[in-house]
Amino acid sequence: MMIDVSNLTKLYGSTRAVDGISFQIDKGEVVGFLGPNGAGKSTTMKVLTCFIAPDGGTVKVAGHDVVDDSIGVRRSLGYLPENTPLYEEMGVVEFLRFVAGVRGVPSSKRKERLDHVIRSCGLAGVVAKTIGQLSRGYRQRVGLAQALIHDPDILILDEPTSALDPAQIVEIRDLIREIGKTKTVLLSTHIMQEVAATCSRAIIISRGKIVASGTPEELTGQRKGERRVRAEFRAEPKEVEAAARALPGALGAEAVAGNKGSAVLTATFKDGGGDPAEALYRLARDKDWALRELREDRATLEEVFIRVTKQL
Amino acid sequence: MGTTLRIFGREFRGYLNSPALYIFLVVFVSMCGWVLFHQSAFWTQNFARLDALFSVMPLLLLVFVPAVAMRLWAEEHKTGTVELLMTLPVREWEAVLGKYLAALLVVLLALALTAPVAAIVAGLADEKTPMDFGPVWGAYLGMAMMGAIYLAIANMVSALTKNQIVAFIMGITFCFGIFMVGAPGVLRSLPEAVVPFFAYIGLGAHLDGVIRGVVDTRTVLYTASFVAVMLFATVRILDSRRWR
Repeated sequence: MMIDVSNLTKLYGSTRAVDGISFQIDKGEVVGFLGPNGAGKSTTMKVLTCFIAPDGGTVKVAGHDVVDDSIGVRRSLGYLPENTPLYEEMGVVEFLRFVAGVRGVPSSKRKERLDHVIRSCGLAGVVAKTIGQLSRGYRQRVGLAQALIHDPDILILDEPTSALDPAQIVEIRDLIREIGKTKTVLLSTHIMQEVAATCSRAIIISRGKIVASGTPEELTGQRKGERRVRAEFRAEPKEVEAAARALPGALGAEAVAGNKGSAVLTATFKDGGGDPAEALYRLARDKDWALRELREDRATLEEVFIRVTKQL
Repeated sequence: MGTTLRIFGREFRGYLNSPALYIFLVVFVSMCGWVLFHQSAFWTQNFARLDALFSVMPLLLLVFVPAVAMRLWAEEHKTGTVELLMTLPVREWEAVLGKYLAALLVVLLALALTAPVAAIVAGLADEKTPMDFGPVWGAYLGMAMMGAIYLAIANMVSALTKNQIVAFIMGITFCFGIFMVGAPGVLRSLPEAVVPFFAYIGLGAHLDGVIRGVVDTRTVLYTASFVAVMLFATVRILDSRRWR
């Protein structure tokens, strides 16, 4: 268990910024932390990185308690804070050397690590610059580079792609996925594709509480090995339902009356047994039902996000 | 100790990279020269002495030191880099001490830069009555101690706010308080029971002797313990921010 949060509470005055949340993250997981602004994502991350202290509950990172052994916690992780604060007046390399030094990277390895993060974060073009001269995208890469410089077991990234252009986002996501093969990563974001693209699991929080958690597939309600199709026919709902259930590979079907005398069908099929959409088209042709709509039904993470964060 | 040194190094380089420092240094050194050569009886007395300089320097330090110290923590809080710094494996006291020492080096540098003023005065002395360097060394030591105390206060104040200007003005106010509290006029107006305490806390009584060239261990102890208490308070302030 790399990160073990149990019943964490943090108050700002009388506001419960984080209200008794618990979750665990294992080695090698890339977990996305989702939630609307002000949900408590950053607060939780600040507690995990020992910047602020919890008001209740226990938090362990790599086996170290954030209150009793905060130096141990801080040694084991790399952290990219929200908005990427950096020492503006420092040179890029000077800054990375400073972090490497304080992080205790042995001097024999320092050059190698420096070259590595400069390469993997795409900083080669700006090594001669001062941080204050950099664009936001490059600042974010410098922030990522300093989080990686000591090759930590755990990475905590607060909105790592928020200032990047689309091409850079793809690069950084690839980098995070690559890191995630051997390390534990917790990243916060409100970009849903980011979770789908990089995370093995997502935790959605809203108003300080966890409202949903699971793999992107679980969250969108799709079990592995299943495909869901939505179709609208001009026909009797009951008839459509029965016909769809009889199709090969069908696991379940439900049809309700739509407008203008149509039936809206939602059917689940076993994956790998031919295309369910084609099967439904053939059904409509054989029965001579007018086909008004036909598509794979996939609840997007956005829909899930909006649904679960509205609940409270 | 390695961590403290790295923070010290980063902070000191930060000073050298900031244009404001050079402005402060130029103003401080030229004020020193101006006070001595223009605003005192220097030319009419017949001795090569720096008394006028050292009687005004405490007031110049009162402004210069808070100006140097105001960025120490206020800027970190303003730009958010404090989050970067305090999530590194750095203990609070290492960060506080490293930053304090960097600013102290700046203050000592400023004092060293006034050496040409002393050298000019020594050069003006005639051969029969050369300048007595004993009191000059003593006075510089006293100024360094005073700078160290002011800096410890201003450093603590800087940890209380995000605003450098507030840190600067509060720094001057607090330093002035500690400068004044042992003055005879203040002591006379206090209840008798607390007079010895304030007389001890106050800066003047301790440093008068040093400025005259007399260094005793009590003064060294006073300075060291004052600085230690202030640095400890800074550590506590930073720690308390985590629990807010």
